[in-house]
Amino acid sequence: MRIVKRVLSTYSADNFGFCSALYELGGLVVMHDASGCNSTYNTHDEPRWYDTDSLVFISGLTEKDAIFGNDDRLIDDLVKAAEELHPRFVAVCGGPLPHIIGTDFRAVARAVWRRTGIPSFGLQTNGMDSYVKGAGGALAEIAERAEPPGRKRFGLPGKIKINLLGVTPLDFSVNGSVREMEKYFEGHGFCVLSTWAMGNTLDKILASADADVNLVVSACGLPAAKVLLRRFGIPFVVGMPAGRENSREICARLREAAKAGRLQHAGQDRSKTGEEQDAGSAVSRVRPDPAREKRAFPAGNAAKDPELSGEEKQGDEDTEAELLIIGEPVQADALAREISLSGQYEKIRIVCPMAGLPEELLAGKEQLVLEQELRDACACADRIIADPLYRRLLPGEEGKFTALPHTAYSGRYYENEMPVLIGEKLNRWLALPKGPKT
Amino acid sequence: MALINLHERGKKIQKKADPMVRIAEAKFPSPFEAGLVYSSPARGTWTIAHTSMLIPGSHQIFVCPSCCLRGVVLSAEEMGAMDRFSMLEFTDDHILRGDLEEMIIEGVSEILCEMDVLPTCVLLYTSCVQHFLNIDLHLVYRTLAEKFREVDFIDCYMLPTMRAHFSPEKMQWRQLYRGVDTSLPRNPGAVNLIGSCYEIDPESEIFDLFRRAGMTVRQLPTVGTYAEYKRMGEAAFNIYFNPIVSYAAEDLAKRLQMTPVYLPAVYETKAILENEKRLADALGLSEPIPDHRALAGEADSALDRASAALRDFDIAIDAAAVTRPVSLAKKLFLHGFRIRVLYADAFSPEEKEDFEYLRVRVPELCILPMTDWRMRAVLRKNPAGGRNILAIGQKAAYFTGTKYFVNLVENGGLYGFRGIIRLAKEMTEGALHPRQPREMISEKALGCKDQCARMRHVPPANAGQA
Repeated sequence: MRIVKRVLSTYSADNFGFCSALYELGGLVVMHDASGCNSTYNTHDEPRWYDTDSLVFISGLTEKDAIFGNDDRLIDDLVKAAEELHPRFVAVCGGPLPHIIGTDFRAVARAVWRRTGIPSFGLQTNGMDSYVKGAGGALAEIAERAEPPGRKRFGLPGKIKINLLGVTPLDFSVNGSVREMEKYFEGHGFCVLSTWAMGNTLDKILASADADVNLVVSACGLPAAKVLLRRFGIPFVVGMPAGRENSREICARLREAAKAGRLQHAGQDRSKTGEEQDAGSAVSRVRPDPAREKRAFPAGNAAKDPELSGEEKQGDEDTEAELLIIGEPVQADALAREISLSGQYEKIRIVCPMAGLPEELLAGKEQLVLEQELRDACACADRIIADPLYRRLLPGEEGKFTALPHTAYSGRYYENEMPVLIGEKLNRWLALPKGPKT
Repeated sequence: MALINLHERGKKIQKKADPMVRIAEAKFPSPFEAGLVYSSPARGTWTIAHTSMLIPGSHQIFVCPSCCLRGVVLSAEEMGAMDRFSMLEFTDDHILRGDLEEMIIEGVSEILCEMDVLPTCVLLYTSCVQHFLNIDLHLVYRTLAEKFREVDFIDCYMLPTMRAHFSPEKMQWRQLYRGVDTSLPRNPGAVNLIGSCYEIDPESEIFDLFRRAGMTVRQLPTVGTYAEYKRMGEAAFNIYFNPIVSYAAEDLAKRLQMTPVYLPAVYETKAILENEKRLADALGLSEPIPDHRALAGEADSALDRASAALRDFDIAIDAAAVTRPVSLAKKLFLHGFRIRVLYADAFSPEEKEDFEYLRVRVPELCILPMTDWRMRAVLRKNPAGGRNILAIGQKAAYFTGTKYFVNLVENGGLYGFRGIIRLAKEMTEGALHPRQPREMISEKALGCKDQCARMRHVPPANAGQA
């Protein structure tokens, strides 16, 4: 399949997602590649670059090192920087060329760990998958190192403790959405222990296993939720609190999941390497309970709910929709659910063009990648909610589009036009009717 | 919100991570060791996606993995030139199938067949992966050229991994002139100014020489049409100001027998006059050639006035602003400016003499890198300790945290004595009118958006007849 982009852009890559997820956690985060990736990431995909300090760098891979497979320079440079900057951890990933030559980032990280004593991990990114895979993988690595519950007591008595998983500027911008989301839950009887990973320190995130339930607010959060379910039995709900009714439903599902309680047999330590034990990372691995996972997962996830996904209403052959939503699956679900409840549209189609999405989030959605497929989908719809760059698909029909800028797609270009969609703000943004359809 | 404040982690760490060296102790030409790379938010320098837009009517097609494509496609969006840009994204599947040649040929064909009007010229970019896999690019270009005979295909490269021999910019400048008409006979009355993103200021005194010789001058930023770009192939001389363009000049000399003339963007009166003499000799100008010694005096006076106006300011210069930062520093020092900081990862060997001069006369001059990882932790203030600092260049403005700066990138088209006069004026204005640098320096490729708009809306200009 040729992926020809005549007018469209491309989604942020996995190595950028990796850096974005770890940006605020005080780690030394390094992309192994030549110089271009770093400037692309920090110019287009990292709105915090100017104002918020970080330790994100690129290795400056050279032709010679690539040809001779010399990883020593990378390891030496990582060690040197780590010894001077004293980061909380060292994380390394790569771009396309290290992928081609088979650089083993986990091995590189182990070598750095041995030499510096600083916890280190690597992720096999390739610069070809989407940011979801990189950010998801990075947060999952953090989840593997989270402290077991009870070591530190957080939260308020009587309140359900939650973590928000999958929060990066690539999906939530820096327009206040994250704080708004935290405020929303705090205002509805929850205690937000941590937000992975914006606005929180690494310590707060590592100590967040006291949560009663995790909320996966973007596809980037799902791998971490699975790790926390496996390790500590913390159930999770998938959903973004956008829209009045949809957010209420998410709150109800969170309460239901919290009431059901933790998976009881979680917490058995897996065999650890010496280094992991030295670092005190309480890593546990148990077989996930399919029943529990099934119970935890569908809450808030329109994809599993035929009523939300429209699976009963539209067959594969019927691609005509009144409303087409193109974008990140969890956010798209939230929009679809709220709009569906408002009665404004009945036939809603969701398209998620980014690669590397977890299978579970794709049910009831389509993953169209080719420009012509996307053009056809837009042509069939009465109204389209999508990043403004998708307007290029239908010249002369721009009026059909409602622009919902997505940093992971159009980068910084529309950053001043990104709306906050949390709670009722989505209804105001869409000018939806006040009550649900009866 | 700064969650990890690198600047408050203790003086010990700060001191250890400080890359600053005094010029008295600095190694030449590379004062700093290679290591992890930091990329500052100063984005005014042009990338290959920007310089490609200088060829009128051209269309860029990048064949890369998504992380490489993302920077260029969003650059195209920001400069309002998405209609001149397309891409082919390849994935692991394409690599494993080993059909990258076929994928490029079919993908480019699909893009071109869908266009209402074929572009005159396609700049087809391949990336590091294709070259490491050693795909048959000759087959690709040959097939495409046969298939689309009315389109000029220029092979272009985004190969940052292979920068040891050919930096992407160096390679880019060579390729940008590969599309000029090679069938034209040499015209001794035509000259090209090559390798500048910005129009070389037509007020510059070298244009007096061109006028004196009755020459037609062409340069990429001002060629209005593709036909005019093709006519660059008739020039007898290529003049360039930046050493990274030497590769392009040599290539044109070898292929088209055009005479290369290097006029380094120097600042010393003697060196500028020597450049002029070299240019006049190359052009075969007979005596009397225009005498610019009076203009040299005007430039010195302008600098003296600026120096008096900036007596309360330290001066910082970065190597992205001018191609000869040490030469500029020396010139400013000689006019009484308080030269305190130079930002450069390395220096051109051509600057050795000026560097040694400053090493003796201004030993306390601070040298700092621009991309060294330690620059992330350096305090955004005047590293020399003074209060006010005027930065020449975006990176210097960012690193010093100053509001007083000259927004200058890659010489900005300034050259010679009139260039110095303009620079002196901009320095004075920079000191008088403080500005918030954030918005200005965050824009990619300073001036490119305006350039693209001009190329879209302005009717084709006459060739830069001097």
